[in-house]
Amino acid sequence: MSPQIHLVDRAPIPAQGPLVAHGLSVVYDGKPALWNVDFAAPAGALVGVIGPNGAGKSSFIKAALGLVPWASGWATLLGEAPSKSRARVGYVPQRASVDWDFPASALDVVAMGLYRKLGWLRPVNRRSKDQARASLERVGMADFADRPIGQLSGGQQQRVFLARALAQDADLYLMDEPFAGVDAASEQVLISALRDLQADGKTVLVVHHDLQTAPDYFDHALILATRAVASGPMADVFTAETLQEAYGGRLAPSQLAALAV
Amino acid sequence: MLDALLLSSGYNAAVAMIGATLLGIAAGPVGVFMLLRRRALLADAASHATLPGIVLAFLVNLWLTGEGRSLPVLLVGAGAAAALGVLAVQALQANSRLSGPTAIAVVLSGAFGLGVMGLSYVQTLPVAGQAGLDQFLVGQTAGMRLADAYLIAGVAAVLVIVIALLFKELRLIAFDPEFAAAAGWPVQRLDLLANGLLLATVVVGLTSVGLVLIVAMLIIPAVTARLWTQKLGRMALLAAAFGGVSAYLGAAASAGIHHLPTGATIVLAAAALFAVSLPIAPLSRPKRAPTALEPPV
Repeated sequence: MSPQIHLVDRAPIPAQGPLVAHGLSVVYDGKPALWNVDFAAPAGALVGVIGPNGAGKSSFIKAALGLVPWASGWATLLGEAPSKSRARVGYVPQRASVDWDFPASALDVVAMGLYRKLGWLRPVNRRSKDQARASLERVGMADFADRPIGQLSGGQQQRVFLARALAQDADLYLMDEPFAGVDAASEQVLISALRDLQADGKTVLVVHHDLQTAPDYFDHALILATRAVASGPMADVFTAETLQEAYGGRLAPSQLAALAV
Repeated sequence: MLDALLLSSGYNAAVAMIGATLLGIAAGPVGVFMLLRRRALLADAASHATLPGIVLAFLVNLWLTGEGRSLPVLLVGAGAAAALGVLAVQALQANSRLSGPTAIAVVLSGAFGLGVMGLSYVQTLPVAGQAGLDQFLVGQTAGMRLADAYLIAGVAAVLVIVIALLFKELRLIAFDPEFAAAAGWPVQRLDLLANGLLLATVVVGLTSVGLVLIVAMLIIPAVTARLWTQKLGRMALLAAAFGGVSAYLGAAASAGIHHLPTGATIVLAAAALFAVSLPIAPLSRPKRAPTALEPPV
């Protein structure tokens, strides 16, 4: 069955910045997935959310959006409670969270990023189709607009998901593992799209699992291991100490040497 | 049989066939969204849960008016019981270890057992009209009156209009409910509405297809349509066409050959369309796994 979506609705909390979390905890079945996380994303930053499997990276993104209930603490997006502002936030869920055998073309999926702007009951019109096509163009997928999504490769599907978020034309983007299982060409397209977003003054948070590429891709990092191990500019926080702490000492010296930290 | 196909085998048969056809047209697109939201089997729990509701509505109506059988009253009882069935499935899924299909199986069989017990009790009562209650099991359009057909037509029209208006919203929550919630759509309320469409189809379908087989009218035309197209809009239209054609052919066969139960003939017609589509439709072959992860680079 599909996951239950819990919508969190709290009074707005005054907080500046594109994304602020304070004492944020998420608990599933009595076990903490995220514990007492404080974090403020600097405006215009490209933030890597880094940590081992089960570190609460996805939970952090979903809690920030108010899609999972907060056990404690709070988060604000664009200075408002998530329930108020999430419609203005671009979101890229994990690719594996949907059924790619769904009867839809790449253009159909990207157009979903424009539904909110269209509003209730209004059908997808020519103008939104043109906008969706422009978003596909930005991820190098214009030629695949009418292709059924089930016929796309993993990397192409991920680009479609990014194009849908781009179509939302948001100020803040939250992306859950956009680089998971994509080919090299798609990875290059995705990272240059992220840099374009940053150049346009947008703030982007990206859940990322690959330590090798993280320092190249992101200028800020939030290192999670259920709690926040470290956060700040990449050069300050991406160190042997913080990584060993996050990964519980499981990184071999040779791995750390390869990361040049 | 030919007379029946041409709606000329009598006024009552023609009314029944039109009612069944409209139901088939509405059930197709409802089934498409249920199938894509992976909720198609929920219809089976809802439909089997109608039986105790029908029996209870009959008894209450008998006690109040001295006359048990009244289609609107029975359908209200059926609808309330079906809604309880859906709530029971969802409560079991949320609060117990049961998975979705298991929760559906428990509610479906439990409610149906209760209904069969009630039905056999009602049949011992020395009152008129109770003999017809078991027609809801496998459907019987033969006794359908013009007022009943109007009721079915009205509900079918509302279902089709709601789906046409909320097409993009229903598509969004069927494909990616998480993204929909993040974009600010009220996913739970839209799901509630989708369940409402399902319940309305089940309740109205009791009259022609019957509660045991109504799930087939939601699923078979939808999966047949999926074999022919990769576009959701076309899939919904095709499902409406397949549903309408099967209901029309099935009801005609039932009217023409007197002892055939309508529900069975309708579902067989739908299954025949599926069987014909399978070898010739473009999307029948199993897909290579396009969502498999590419090798890491």
